[in-house]
Amino acid sequence: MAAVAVATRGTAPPSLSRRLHEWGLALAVVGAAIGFFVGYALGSLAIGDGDNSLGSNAGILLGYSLSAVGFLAGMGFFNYPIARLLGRPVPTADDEAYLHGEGGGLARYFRLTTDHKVIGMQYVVAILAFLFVGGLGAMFIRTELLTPTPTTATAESYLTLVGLHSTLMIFMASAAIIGPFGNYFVPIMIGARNMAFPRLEALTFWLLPPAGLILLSTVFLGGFTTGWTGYAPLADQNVLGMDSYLIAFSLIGLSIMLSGLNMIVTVITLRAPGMRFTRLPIFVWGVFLTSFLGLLAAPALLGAIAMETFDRTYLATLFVPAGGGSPYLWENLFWFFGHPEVYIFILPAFGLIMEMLPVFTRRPLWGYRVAIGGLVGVTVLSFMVWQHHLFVSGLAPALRPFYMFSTEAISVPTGLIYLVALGSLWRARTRFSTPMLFIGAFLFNFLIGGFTGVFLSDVPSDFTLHGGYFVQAHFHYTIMGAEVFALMAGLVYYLPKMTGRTMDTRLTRFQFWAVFLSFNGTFLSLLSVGILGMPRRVISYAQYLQPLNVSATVFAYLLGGSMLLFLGILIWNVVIRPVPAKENPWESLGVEWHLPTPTPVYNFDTVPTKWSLPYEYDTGRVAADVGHPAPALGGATP
Amino acid sequence: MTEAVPTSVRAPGDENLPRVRSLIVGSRMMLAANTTLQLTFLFAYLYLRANNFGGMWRPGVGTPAPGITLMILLVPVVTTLVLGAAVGVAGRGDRRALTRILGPALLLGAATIAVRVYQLYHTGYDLAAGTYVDIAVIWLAVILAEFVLGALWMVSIYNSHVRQTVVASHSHVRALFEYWLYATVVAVVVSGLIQFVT
Repeated sequence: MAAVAVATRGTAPPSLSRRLHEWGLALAVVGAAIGFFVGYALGSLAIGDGDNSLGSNAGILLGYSLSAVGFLAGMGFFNYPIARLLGRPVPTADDEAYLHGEGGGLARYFRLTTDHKVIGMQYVVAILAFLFVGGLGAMFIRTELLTPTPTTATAESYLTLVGLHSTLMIFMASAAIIGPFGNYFVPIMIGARNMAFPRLEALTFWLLPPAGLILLSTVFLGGFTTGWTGYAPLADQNVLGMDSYLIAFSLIGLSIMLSGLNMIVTVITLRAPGMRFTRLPIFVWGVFLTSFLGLLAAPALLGAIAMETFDRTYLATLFVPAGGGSPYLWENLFWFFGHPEVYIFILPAFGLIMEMLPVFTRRPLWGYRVAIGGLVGVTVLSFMVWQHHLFVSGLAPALRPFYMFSTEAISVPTGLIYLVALGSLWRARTRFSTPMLFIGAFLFNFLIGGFTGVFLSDVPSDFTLHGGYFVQAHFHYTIMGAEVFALMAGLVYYLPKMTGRTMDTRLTRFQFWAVFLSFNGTFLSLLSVGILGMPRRVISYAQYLQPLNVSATVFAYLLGGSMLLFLGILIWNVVIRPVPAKENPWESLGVEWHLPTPTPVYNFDTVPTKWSLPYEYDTGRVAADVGHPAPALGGATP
Repeated sequence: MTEAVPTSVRAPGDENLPRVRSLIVGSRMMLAANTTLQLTFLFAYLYLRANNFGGMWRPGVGTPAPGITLMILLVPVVTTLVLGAAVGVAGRGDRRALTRILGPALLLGAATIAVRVYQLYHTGYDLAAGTYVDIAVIWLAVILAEFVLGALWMVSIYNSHVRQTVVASHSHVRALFEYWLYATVVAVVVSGLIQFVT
């Protein structure tokens, strides 16, 4: 084994570039500011002739674009490509090791680091931050809806609030599972030392902060009234705040696409010897297939945003009927991205749930290949359903049956995945640890989300329910009730591995019941107001809907409180008063749990070559021999 | 967060990371994503043309300047052929021959960008002349951006090769060739579409 200890490496003083690198985040902020002002000036000057609004739009759009470029330049993302462009020497092994964060320390979490585990942790923080800010938006929305008439907000500011909440949450949901757990565990699970393109992986993360901040800055530019879907022609008519939405969403689209590319290449090319596709952990399958969705769907969003940008700066009329354009074009392009996007949310969550399930049922995953078939089926069909969002938007009637049936057909592979989960639970001696409680809640919530989705795929009922709170509650059941519950399950389950610290069992159990009950209280109320005809994105509503809205708001406050409690437990037990975790608290057979904690910088001393499925709880065989003494099986289950 | 890192091993030594394969697979995946982008514009182009909302698809009477059409089409094709030859040379491991062939490829790449910029600014219309021009110009701009990226890639391979910091491998050149071939095919098809499906 060619193992060289870190301590043996050079002790030369750090070079100027490394010192600058340490200040990456500060330089990034400076770069962003410079980029914005340069871009704004250039954009305004280049296009502002005779039309101030166009000039301002161009200035803001170019300003934001260059601020993102400046941010990334400050972080050091262009050092490598520029060096290659100029033919300068490639980084030495020491440089790469430094970039990988071999020396350890907290500083690597605040700079460009290429270690997939550090990036996974960075994602944890970013996702929770997005969830927190987006959640605050939800609280404001529910507060406003306590009364049938406007109290604290105007119609426009309410729409901006709704748009900010929804767009931030969509950003969060796009990476909620793949970001933290995919980046951290996929390389380990396939026996790789790192991702195929580590710099690209870091880039996908560092695109998120500028995207979030640019989106939030919309409040200084008049906001945007389109919601997260950015529908034209309203988007063409919106004030400068719309430009924030366009640039922020394009950064997120880029991140989704590049993340997908990196995951696909990693799984295809970096699997350890003996790790066949038929032995991939089901979570890796979920991430792998989702990555195709991201890779192939996000470019449609980027293309559509480029067109909208053109409309807003160059007097193009691609989405403006008066100039020969069509708002339906935006709807088509947006939803060609948008509907696969919802499976980008849920497929990795399914993978994560199925990955954890055997650990708590103490038996192999029932129907491993059926589960893969289900995931593949959802992946393929998800590209064929987007027009169900246009049932009431003037879609040619002859096309409706196809999209109705394709949408309903997707419930078949989804049902297969569900069947695998239920089959794994059947007659199992399930350990109801906290993650298992979240898994159960995931299955319950997604069942409601799935059933309500069937009504929306059906043309006649969609005509009645479209644009109302029924739809809103439906997708909250799938995104929050399923994906965010999977995120919480994953955090409780994997934080002991990721941090060496664990969350308090009693508090997380209490938090689980609080979040489960308050979530269902909130969204069952909203399903009901939806059936009673309350439209979405409208600040006022009929008087008779107030009791249910009050109910939804009270439960929403409890929901917000329980989410804060989760955050509080996490911060308290992991950061402020760390509670050390056992090496393998859940007695998992997965390879990731049989490495030391914290996981070594390059994961394995020697890459394992003999692999089996990680669910052989009937034989007790670990997925692979990783060369470390295996943590004892038999510790108490928290 | 993990503050302490245990004594760890230096990367690899006991294995050879298959970077070459990652480069090729990654490059092809990028082309797959690119295909969705091109299909997005194709959908928009045909959608707007088929519907011709308000008769505003092509209200003007101008005609795209045909003067250098042949060059616009031929220069990237010739560049592709030269890069194809470079792939063969790189496969034989002849470094000097590769240097000699990458130089002209680079010049042709620059020429490609020049003619595409000319095309972008000589469509024969102004931007307020209907959605035909809108979608055509933005599509051509995207293709131009792709050629610029390809040319930058070419520069990096050439400079690294000439300065011997990274010797251009068969895989490097092949990935670049595939990318440029893809962009050329798209450019030719789109130019034909814009010229004939009006």
